[in-house]
Amino acid sequence: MGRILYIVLSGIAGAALLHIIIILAIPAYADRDAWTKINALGPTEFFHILPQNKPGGLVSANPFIRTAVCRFDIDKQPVRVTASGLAYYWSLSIFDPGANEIYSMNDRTATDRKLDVAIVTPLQMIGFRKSLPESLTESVLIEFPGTTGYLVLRTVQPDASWELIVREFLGNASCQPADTL
Amino acid sequence: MLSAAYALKATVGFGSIAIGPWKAWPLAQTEQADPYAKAHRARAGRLLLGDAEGLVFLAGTDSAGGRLRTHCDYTVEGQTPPARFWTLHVTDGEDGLLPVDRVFPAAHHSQNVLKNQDGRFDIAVSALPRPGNWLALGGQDQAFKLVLTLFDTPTAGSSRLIELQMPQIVAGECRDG
Repeated sequence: MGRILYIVLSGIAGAALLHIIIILAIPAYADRDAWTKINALGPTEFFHILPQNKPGGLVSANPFIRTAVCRFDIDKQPVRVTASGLAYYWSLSIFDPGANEIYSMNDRTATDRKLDVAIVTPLQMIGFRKSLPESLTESVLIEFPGTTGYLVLRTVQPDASWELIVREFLGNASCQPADTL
Repeated sequence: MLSAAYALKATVGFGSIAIGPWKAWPLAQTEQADPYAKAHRARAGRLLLGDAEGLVFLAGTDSAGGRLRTHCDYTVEGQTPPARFWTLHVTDGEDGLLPVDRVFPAAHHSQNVLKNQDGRFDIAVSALPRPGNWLALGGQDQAFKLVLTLFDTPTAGSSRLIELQMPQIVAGECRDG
């Protein structure tokens, strides 16, 4: 009797341990997480406008939201993100490859409701504190703890009449390496 | 292995805020998220809303605790916490958009919902047309979730969220089939 109890209890403990290990290991081994899907979209430092409905792919899940995604690598140069124009609402979030939010903002927290930020490494930031390049004088500098990540630009399309305006806003948004020389 | 898959399908993680049937995970996209939340977001592979962007509330049950099903009628009534803009839409069991005929209103937002003089609203959720605000359901009988997204809201990251008013989900009649 004691032997059976021992086997059952050790089985339960082993299963619990395995459960914990699997939960902790999933983020490292995930093959369909946001970062993998973003890498599949195409080139870095380019805004990819997401479709509304694509099974298995990245989608703009809310029917009134239009989303653009840009993957960046700031190892050599910072990346500068700009957008302007008429938008009902826009918001920006910056994530590391593990999908942890590093920074987020919306049009009310931006000056003149214009988006102009530069994502820089801590090392580049030290250099920019001494002398800021001409091209970044109007940008908000955001320190990013790493070299690669992605950012998500969202805007609202309240009804079909906004489609052209939204397309123009996202189409004119740019995400490209900043010229700091 | 099955237990892990079940746990990740059943919940987004710990640290949720529940107001009536509505649940939100304000820390799900952050470094502080618990291991379940991190595993869930790695498996789901979705782009989450940042802190300054907004907060998503999900409801899988009505205010009395009954599971939401597409062959039943519901009324979403009351008001939302302060937000610049909010949207209400419906997802299926796999978190995809519920298939609804394009000509029917499958989603609403704060600017196209008719409100009472005191700012409160009633939205009828039904597979059959309803007067007033109507959110259409479709497809065969299945469980669904209501998704209320608040954009630019001071509630995200606020501990005062507990006191906030969320709309009630009142169950009406169900049809066979």
